[in-house]
Amino acid sequence: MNTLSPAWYMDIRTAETSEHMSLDLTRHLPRRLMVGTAVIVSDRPDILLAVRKRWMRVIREVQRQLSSTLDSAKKYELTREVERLRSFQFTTQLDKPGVDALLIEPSQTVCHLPEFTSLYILTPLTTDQFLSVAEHAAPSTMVAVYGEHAPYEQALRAISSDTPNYPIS
Amino acid sequence: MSVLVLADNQPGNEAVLCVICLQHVPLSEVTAGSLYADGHQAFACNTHLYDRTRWINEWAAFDATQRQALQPLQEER
Repeated sequence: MNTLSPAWYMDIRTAETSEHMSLDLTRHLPRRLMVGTAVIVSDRPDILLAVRKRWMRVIREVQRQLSSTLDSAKKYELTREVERLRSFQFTTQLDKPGVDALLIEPSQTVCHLPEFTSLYILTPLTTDQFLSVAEHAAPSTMVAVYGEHAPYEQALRAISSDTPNYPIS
Repeated sequence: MSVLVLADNQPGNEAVLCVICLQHVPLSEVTAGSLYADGHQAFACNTHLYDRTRWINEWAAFDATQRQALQPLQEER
């Protein structure tokens, strides 16, 4: 294990179509919602609908796997997985408390946001918009970028000296 | 698709453990997932992302293991 000081994780994603983007996001998001709140920045509010539809498919897939296993440990794991996937709350409402995934438009990056551990950038942001949203990031936040990531990487490198030490395994 | 770790002492493209295939792979080939019980970031190969069954099963198993590992840590506190 190395100790890094300080760390942001930038996950550079590629998606050629909006379909591919919503698929990638729906596979990626469940793992990150285990860690904490996610903020998704997109200028297309309909992406939330696409993600919700795919989310229901993921739940059905987990249920299918659950019903096809006799392994009691696996049954337990998959039962927990279904419960978790069903419990996550998605919203576009900034003032809704206890939300798991918040979808905002680029213009809303200046608004007060909940502290998050995952940020998904689906739409290009200006440096000011990015820095504004990054203010609400918890330590060791993962930033997933679909598209050009260099400006955000530069901005994070500039501000990362203000964050504490986090280990990587 | 890759992961960059932005830190003062950045490791570059060092190898990390994929929690699905348990191989050490470069950061350029992984995606960030959930966390180990002790708070460390866990990773998995990007190639596993589109193997739906394996992706779901292995991460569910990983998270269950971490929850179990967390219980004694929480009891200690």
